[in-house]
Amino acid sequence: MTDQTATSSSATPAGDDVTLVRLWDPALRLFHWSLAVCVTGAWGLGKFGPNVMTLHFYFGYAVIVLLGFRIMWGLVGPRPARFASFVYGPGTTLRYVASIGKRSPSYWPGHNPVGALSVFALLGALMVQVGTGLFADPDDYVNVGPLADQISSQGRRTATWLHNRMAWAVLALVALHLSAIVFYKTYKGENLIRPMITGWKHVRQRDSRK
Amino acid sequence: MRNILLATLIAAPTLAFAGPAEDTVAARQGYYKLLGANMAVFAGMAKGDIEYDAAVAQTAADNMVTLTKYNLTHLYAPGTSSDDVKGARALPKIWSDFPGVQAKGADFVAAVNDMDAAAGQGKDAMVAALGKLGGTCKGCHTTYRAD
Repeated sequence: MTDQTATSSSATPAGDDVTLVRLWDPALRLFHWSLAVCVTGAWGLGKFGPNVMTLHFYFGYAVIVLLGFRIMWGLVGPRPARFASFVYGPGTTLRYVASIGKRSPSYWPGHNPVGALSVFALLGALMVQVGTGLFADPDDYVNVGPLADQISSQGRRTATWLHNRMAWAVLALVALHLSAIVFYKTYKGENLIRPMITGWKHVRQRDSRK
Repeated sequence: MRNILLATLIAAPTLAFAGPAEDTVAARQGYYKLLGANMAVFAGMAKGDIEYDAAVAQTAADNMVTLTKYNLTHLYAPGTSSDDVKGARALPKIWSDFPGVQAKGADFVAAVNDMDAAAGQGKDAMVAALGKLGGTCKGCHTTYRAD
């Protein structure tokens, strides 16, 4: 299993089975960084922005569009972007968890089994967040969600309550995401940021057909 | 005897529901409902649900000016926070931070007066004033109201 043969083959840093591939397609990368900007913008404006939240609303609408794209891409996009390619069983996931402490890059060709959970959690949390935002109503007659008048006042209050709570869940998930990036970079020596910028990543193909 | 005692214990929470604190909370929420009813006039005109009418908008603004002159002290009697009364949403920190609450209140009163000046001056002027006014509602809700 652990054939860490550090043979210095031409372009690969860790063995013959590791190759540099174009992993993340341009649309997915554009999606990722747009989502980062829009979620940061919406979050910051929500907590610290002006009391008239027009810009927060626009960032929220942009997040809806981006999530819509990601769901579509998860169904029909290139293989690494497809949800089906990063739904892992408990066995694979636990094996990955067991090896996560190794001080070597994962060379995983896509979202690794733990990272995949983070992706689904973040996408799910953001869907709840934009969904409740549409129905939220802080009783100020100005920052009223565009669909708030479609539901009862109790429903609006629940949506607002959940929207306020979920903001912290989103923050926690983003913090976890960033911590993982730092962990991979500093502890495991694997740069996960560059692949999300250039698309190119060192991967071990052997794992990709699991 | 024991049955009477038990019955009293069981009934006690129900009786407490109609105490003076609950009345105060109901009155307080009624005050904000009145403000809201006038805000709804501006919001309805801004959204186009109601046609803008300078006289109607001015009346709503005048009503709100009248309401800002109301002394709210008795509506914020001690023991009427969201911790004390079921259904109340006024956070306990209101009672420990009166200067902060007063600052928010002053913002609101200023915005109401601006609205009073703008409401009859055309839809655009009214809508601009509404944004500021609604913002002062949110300013207080965010900090001092249970969500």
